[in-house]
Amino acid sequence: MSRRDFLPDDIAPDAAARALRWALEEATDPAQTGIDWIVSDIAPGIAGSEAFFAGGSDLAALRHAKDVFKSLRMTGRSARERRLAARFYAATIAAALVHHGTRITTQSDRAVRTALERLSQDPAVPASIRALASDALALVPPV
Amino acid sequence: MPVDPNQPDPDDASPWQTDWSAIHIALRGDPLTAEEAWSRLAARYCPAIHAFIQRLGHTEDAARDLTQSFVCDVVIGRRLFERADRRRGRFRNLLLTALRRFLTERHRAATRMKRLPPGGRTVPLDAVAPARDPAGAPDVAFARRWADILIRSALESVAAECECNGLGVHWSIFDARVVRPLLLGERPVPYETLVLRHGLRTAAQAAGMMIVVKRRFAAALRDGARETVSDDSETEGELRELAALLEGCR
Repeated sequence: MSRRDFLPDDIAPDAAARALRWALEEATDPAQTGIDWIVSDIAPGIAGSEAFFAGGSDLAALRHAKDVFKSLRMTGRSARERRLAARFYAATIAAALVHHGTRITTQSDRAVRTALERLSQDPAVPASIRALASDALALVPPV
Repeated sequence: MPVDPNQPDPDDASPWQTDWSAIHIALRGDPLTAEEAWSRLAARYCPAIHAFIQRLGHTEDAARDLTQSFVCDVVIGRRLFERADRRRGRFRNLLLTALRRFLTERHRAATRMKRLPPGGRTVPLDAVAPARDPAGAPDVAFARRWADILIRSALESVAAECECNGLGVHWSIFDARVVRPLLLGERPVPYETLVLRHGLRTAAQAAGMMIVVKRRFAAALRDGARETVSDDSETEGELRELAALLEGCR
């Protein structure tokens, strides 16, 4: 089958522009772009990673994102991507704790606290997500 | 009538491809392979040239004739790209500038000779008011077609790459989650469905496969844009300019 069989005669300008922006974003910061693509794929109605973790996502979406980030921690193409995936993995746990009062991981309190502490201190992550990690830390029993 | 296996399948060829097959036959044996390469490149962008001309107010047929004339007379006949300084400027702008000049020359010649084309009247190029709708402006029509070709080529290339590398499932997931929703407005197929359909372990696995192909697609778009600029540093600017033109259509 020809792969273009299904393509429309005329690609809508906004769709074409989006595709071109993907190419630009991916060239600029491949690691962060991968994270953003995962979030927009899971929650297409939510604008950006920060909004996703700010309470706009349901538990199913957070669980799905957690699983994808968990995998990306190991399979990411660069050290930065793997590190960011680890941070955003922790961010899904934080968001579930803070916004839904639910723990979506079976990891120990110690492991969760360590992940959240790292997230809260990582300047590569947006400030709002670092603050979310700090809020979540208050909900995890001290060890 | 016997089928000539050397001729393209008419059901599989656009009018542009058919016309260009003829041009290539005409050029066969010509040692100037670079010229052929340029003509192939121009053929690839005929739809953009056609869109620009048609947006000026020409009929479909007239636009096609002018497109063919431009490519034959200017791109090939005057060896446009051999004479151009390819170290400067983008291919898209170079082509567009030459096209504008060609159309102006044609219009002046038609006016001088006071000769009307068969079955119609000449369209005074400089008298055609720009469309109020920005999407209708000739430059934007040209950019839209250009981007269209870039995206189609990138999709073709990534699909072929997936097929060659045994990544058919990766492609199917990318298609279901990204391509069809983007280009056809379809709802993305739920990951649960894709997991069952392709016998995958988890939705996370499927999402990872989607990301792998989306990255390849982004890279293929950059590769395609890179082919039309004089050096790599211009690729980003070219993509940005195209995206901005398309976003101006909203």
